[in-house]
Amino acid sequence: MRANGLKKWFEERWSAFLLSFLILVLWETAVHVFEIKPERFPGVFQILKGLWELIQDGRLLDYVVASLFRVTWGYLLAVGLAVPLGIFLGVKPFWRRTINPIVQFLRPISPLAWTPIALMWLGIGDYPAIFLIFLAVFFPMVLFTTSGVAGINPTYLYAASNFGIAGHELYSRVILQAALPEIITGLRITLGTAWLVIVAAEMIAVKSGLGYLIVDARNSLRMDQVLGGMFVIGLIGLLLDNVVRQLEKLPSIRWKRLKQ
Amino acid sequence: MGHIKANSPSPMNMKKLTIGQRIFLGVLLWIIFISGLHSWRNGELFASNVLRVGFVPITCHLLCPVTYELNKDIPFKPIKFTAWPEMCEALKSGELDMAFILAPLAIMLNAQGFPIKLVMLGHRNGTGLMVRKDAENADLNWLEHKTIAIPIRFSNQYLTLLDLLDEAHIPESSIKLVEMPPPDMPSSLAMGAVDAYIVGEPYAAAGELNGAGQILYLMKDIRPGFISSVLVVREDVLKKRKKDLQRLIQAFYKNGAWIEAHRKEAAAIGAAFYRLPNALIEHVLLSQPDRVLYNDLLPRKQEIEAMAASMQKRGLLKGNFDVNAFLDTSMIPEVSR
Repeated sequence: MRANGLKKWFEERWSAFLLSFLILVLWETAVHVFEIKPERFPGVFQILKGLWELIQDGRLLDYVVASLFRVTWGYLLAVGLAVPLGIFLGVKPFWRRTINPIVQFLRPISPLAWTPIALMWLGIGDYPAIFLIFLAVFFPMVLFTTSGVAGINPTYLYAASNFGIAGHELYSRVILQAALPEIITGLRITLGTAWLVIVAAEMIAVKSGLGYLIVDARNSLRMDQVLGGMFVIGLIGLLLDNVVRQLEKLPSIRWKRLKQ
Repeated sequence: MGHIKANSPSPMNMKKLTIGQRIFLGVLLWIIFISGLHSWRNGELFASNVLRVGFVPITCHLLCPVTYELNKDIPFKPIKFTAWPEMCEALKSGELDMAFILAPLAIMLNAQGFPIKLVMLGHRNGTGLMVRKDAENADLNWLEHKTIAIPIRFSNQYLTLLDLLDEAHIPESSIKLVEMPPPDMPSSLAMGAVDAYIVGEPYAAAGELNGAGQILYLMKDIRPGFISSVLVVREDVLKKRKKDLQRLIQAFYKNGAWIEAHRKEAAAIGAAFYRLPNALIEHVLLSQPDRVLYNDLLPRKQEIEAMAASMQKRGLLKGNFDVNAFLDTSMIPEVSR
């Protein structure tokens, strides 16, 4: 069973691995053939060497932990507040009409535009970065949840009412379940956004994290570590996306897929 | 996993958790794990008696790493910044007690009503005006219609560039100025994105060494005694901890003389602390003895007055500025005057 799974996994991905490998070979060759200076564009081995240096002195672990810590708190705080608010707005048309325009207005403002305010209010360190992540996740998440709830097929609600389901149970067993596919999509998209924003936020608001690593390596004229940092950012982004993707496989999400 | 029903409530069987409960538990464990790891790896537990000093990895702030290395008995912590605005905010919010900061930026902060005192200079000279490698026989006139990078408007580099252009009768409107982080300047010059830049060391030397550009002027030759950064202290810290501050500032002063006598060692300390190539810092400190100077760090009233006047002239400072109230050289050793 496990061997089969592994085989399938490999069958699906071997071409992507091969292409990635070829790109790396081409890259390394081009750097040597065209004699590109390492400070302009380092080769693959140089980047690995730079990364190894970061691993050895412990900085890479520190920075990965710092970035993940900020994303965790910013993301979960935002989701924790946005989902209940979204459900509320989804079921109360009056409040949706009142509050939605404000959310819609704030949503397209890049979280990074809030940086000066975040720095002024919260100083430097974890708080401004968490705040920026919160903004990046909160507004889109409210909209995803609201539209998920507002779009629930009324038949479900009638059926629930016929069975005498009301109050707390109606929210947890019918409304939340019915809107879950949209909410999960929102969770996945906003986690990607959060990861994009944390790197940018750490370039300005803090003194640790993967964004800071890029700026710090740039200031130290270490292009190999700049690119090494980018590689790690991409890798973790991929892992995060994979984690949230697992949620889409839940039976309570799949029902909608099957129906579609 | 698929065979477990998503909503099967199982209150009777605590061992069998629903998927929702599992996810909740997983998230909770992750929060505890990552928070614990973060506070272990990145937590900064400052002792209350430690003076926190902001700096940027440039040779103008070399006293910071050198003193940190030489005077382990003095409780202070250098905190590295990569951009000036964050440093200003950290100073304002009290996360820093003092900072090495660009002199015009310090003047502007003080003029805005933020209570800081200028206590000493970072170093003297240590700034270069660099031009493209292919600029033959370049002089000031060559700069006309060119794109020139400056670190930030609130810098003596910018003020001096404008003065130089005035001297050559080149109107500011005939050049294109761009604000740029200093580490990007050498590569921008190499790529032809800018034609020239004026910046503090080691980023002038970086352009010189990587072949991107050539020196048009070093400040030691055209503005001897040039001031780039100064050390400022929050007034509340000054009132509360004058004795500690005096000890640290006197150590900074003493170490200025130490750098002059041990330039090679000082370059090694700076390169390691800044994570910059040793050859680069050595070039700045050793190629010409007066390219950077650490032996006259007393800020003089007329120097700061002239800088404030220049800022007023360029529209960077409105109204009068009281230099006497801004300067506090009382902690500098008597022998330096």
